[in-house]
Amino acid sequence: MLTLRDAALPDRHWVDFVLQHLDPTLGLTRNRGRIVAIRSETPDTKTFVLRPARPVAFSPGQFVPVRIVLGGVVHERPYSPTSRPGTATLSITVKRHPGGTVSGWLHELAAVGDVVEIGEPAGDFVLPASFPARLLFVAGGSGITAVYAVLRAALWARHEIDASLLYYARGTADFAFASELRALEERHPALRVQLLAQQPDGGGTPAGHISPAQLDALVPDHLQREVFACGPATLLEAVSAHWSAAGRASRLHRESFAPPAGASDDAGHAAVPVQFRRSARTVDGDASTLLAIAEAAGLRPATGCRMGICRTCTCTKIAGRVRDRVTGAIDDAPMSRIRLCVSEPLGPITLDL
Amino acid sequence: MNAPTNLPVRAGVPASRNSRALTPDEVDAFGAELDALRTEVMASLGEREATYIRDVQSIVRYAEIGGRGLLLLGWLPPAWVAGTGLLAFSKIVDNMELGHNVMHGQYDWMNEPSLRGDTYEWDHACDGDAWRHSHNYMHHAFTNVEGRDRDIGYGFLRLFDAQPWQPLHLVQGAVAVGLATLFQWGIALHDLEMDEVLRGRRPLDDVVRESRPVLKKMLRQFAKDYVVFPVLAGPSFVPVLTGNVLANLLRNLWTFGIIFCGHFTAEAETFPASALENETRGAWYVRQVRGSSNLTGGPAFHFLTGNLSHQIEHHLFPDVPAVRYADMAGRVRETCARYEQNYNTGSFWSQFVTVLARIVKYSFPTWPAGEPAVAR
Repeated sequence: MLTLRDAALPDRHWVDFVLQHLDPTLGLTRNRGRIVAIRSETPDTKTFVLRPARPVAFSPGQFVPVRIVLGGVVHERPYSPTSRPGTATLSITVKRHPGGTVSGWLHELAAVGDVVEIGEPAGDFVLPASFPARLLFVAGGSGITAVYAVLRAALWARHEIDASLLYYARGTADFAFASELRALEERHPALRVQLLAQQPDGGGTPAGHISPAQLDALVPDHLQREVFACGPATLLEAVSAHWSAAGRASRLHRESFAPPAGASDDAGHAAVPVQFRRSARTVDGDASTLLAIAEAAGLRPATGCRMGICRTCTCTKIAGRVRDRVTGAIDDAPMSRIRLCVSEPLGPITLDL
Repeated sequence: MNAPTNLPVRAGVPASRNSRALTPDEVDAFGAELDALRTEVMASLGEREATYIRDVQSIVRYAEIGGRGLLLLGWLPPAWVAGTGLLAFSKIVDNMELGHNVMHGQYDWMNEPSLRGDTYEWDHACDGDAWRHSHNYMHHAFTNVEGRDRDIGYGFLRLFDAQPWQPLHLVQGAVAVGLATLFQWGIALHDLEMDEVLRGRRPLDDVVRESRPVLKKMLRQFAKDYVVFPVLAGPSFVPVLTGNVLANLLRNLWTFGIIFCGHFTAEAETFPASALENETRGAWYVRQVRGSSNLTGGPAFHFLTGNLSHQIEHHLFPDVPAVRYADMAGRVRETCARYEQNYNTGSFWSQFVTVLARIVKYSFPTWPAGEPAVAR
């Protein structure tokens, strides 16, 4: 039914425009936060403490999209908060990526008092409802942020929990939260932290990459543990292969902040016509994502993470059959909302783009 | 890529009254030149355009606040005049340079949620989704194709020979005045295609099903301008109401004038449905040029038309930010000249007079013989 509310409620973006003049963190459509502290963790890693206008209801291990405006364009990256949920501030730890737009801005230009936008938390890299008896955490490089968040949540929940952390990084100085982890180890007798440097300072012996033999040596009962792994693709692949071979893949939780792997080898998308209806263009799509096809055709759709996380590139598929590269789900419903960055065409497609 | 099927049969484009015929190779080359221009401009988008459209968004909102604020003092004639003017200005810019252009997805690359083409809503009676269908799709894909582009006469007016004459067309001059006066409501109902129901080509159930969001937006817009703001104004009820009515009227007349000059000038061509068969990208470009007409004027004029004064460029490049059309026009015009394609342009009044003449001419029965040869 048509209600007075429909008729009289002002547009939310319009209200935000007025609120922005009062305080740049205010807004109905989005949550913004001021940077209240910045501290260095390692030579290329910094922690940013944000005070959002509205509390962010996340579970430890989830990520929140952080958005900044550079050159007029909104850029977004997912970061895993390491602060305790329910507190007024939110901490994110960011590694400086060479040539990275968002991490570059945060490291070089961001100052206390600056405002960033904080999106809705997402991700299923969280402790299961039935609490596991023994835990193993595997972190590689900046993957420590999500792992650290879950580890701390486990320790808050059960002080005496039997947990082991294998933390891989390049040099001895590259371990973020090293002193915090040592302090946790002292407070929690059943926690064991092993820092594994690939190129230790002072000519120590390299720890070497993760392998079944190394796992047997460092954590002999690793297959009996619930595992949380986050890090580069090579590390995650090795972990997945090992746990799958042992038939324990169901105990493995993994998080990756890299784009999904390439095309599946389904037949049917050798050259399918992709019609961009709003742009009045039809092109031959190849075996890549609809986002790549659109950009190759010269379109510039809205994009965010480009890995199926943030939903910025969501658009209406008027007709056609697509596969979600992340989940493998096939969608052939008309007028469905799809994420371009992870959708590959399996037949002729019409998009409202 | 190996695409054995559905490759368009390469065809040339026939001559029309002011444009010469093009061979298949020329059509391809024409399209390739325009594609290259488009690619160049799309690659150059950045802070300049982003700042521009954010400024436009701010101008629309400040003007609306200022206009509605002044109308609260509307018992004072200067405040009423200034308030009405500012509100009309806000609505015109919101409809054209901001809303129309944003809804084409011209600024999607900014990733800014309030400027996203597929969710934007404007200060207009027409529901955004209905607009995206009737305008972005039906009109832009099938520009001036008889029976497909429903913007030809908006289902009310007869403007081309191919439309069969009916006695009712004798009064279409008066109908056009009515449409111009109530243009936003006409556009709001346009996508429901009720004229097709009268012709028995569309089931009434479809209209009923699709009418909910349309009626909702119309009610919202009516309530906002004619109930909520006047009532909120208390003692200024009357000046706010009259100011809102006049601001909407001014916006309706202006947008009607600009839009009718875009495709219904004397030299704008229409095309039979067969023009769509195996139409290549190049031929699509040729059709957009021949079916559209530009308006000359200064920067303020272009701004108030939402750069739709560059209608030809807009139809060639509907998703390029309109603020860049002026830059592109020189190259487009030069390309058209080289291929001897008519680049239809003129001042607002000179073009508008031909639109009026057309409305009058087609009130009476005409026969295709009197019409320029079109692509068949």
